[in-house]
Amino acid sequence: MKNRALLFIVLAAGALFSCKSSPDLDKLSSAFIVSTNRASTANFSSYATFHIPDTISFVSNDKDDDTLIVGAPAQTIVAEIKKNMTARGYTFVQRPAIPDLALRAVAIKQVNTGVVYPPGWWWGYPGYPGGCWYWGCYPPYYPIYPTVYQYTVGDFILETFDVKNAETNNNLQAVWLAQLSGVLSSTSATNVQRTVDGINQAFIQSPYLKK
Amino acid sequence: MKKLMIILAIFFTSGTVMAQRNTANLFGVSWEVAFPNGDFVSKPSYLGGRVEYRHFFSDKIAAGLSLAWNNYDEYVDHKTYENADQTQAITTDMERFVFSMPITADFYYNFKAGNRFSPYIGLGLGAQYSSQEAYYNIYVSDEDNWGFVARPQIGTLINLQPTSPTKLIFAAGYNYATNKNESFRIDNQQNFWISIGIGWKN
Repeated sequence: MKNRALLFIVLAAGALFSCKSSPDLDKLSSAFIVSTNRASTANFSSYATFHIPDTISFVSNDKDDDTLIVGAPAQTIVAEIKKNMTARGYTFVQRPAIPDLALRAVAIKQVNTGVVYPPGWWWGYPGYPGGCWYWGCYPPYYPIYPTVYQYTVGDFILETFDVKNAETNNNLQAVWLAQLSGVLSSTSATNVQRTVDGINQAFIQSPYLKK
Repeated sequence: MKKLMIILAIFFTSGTVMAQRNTANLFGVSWEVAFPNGDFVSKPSYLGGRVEYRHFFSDKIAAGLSLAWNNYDEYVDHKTYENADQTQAITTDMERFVFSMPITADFYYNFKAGNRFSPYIGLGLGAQYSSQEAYYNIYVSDEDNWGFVARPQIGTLINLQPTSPTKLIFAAGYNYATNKNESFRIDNQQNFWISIGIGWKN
């Protein structure tokens, strides 16, 4: 009985230390997370016109990147923003006309480096009890090496400023902010499409944004 | 409680004493399936288990310790979440994951045993560790916490052979824990569970 109990305790300990599983992340989409914020004091029906530049400001920690996105990618994204704003009843105006709302798009790219740890990384981790197994007191060995990988995270931020009341407010108040966040694809077309989808979602979840 | 812990410690460490006093002990390990009763996750956990020790003070009364665990994993499709005054909204799909591990002191009342079945009712009281995680895109929000837990249960030991120390353990119960997570709006953690296991009784 005593030997059986000892064996049981050892087996139970083995089961215990492997009792937390890992989540299955296969179903997770790569669509950007879309978050929106609005100023609670803003009256969106009081604005009539808007303006947005044809270019997108670009912030990156990759020194080879430019500071501005121009050309087809920028045009596609800006066109989608214009389309949504127009559909909500606002009229696009060219400069030098002064719009009621000024929109500015900013893209942020950050290249990160991480490490994928092999099974067993928790051995020796603070709080891990360790100990002997019934086949001996050997340290674990995993013939799998850590994998260094790189991933690129992107944010697309669409800021909307209240120009109409700037003089009265004595500031340029941001009345609506849309932010798209997520890992970037290595393909520009995929990133542009994800951004377009994200912009549409930002408008969908902001029904108050209308003339 | 302190007295009980001392008694349990003695029986854990001394087989000779156990035999001389003609008492019984049970060590068990079970597969536990849990059905959550809450908003954060709704899919059952099939990755759960329980290890336990029971000391039988008499034919009817037993007490022991147990440690159980469950893993809940659920994909939630794209959905928009808003704050209370509806000034902020976020849309994403996510993978929700909850790990729970109740550790309890258990008390059992055993009904009159037949040749094959030894039914019982029990109550476990103790603490539950839990971690709650939400994965979305490349990000994760997670929190872990402790709470008080109560685990009422019914079950039966099944004798495989009249003289064999090996028993099957069937049990079902409810798990109520006070673990809270404000970010995920979890006020408590509840689940119904069933288990099947094997035990060794001297």
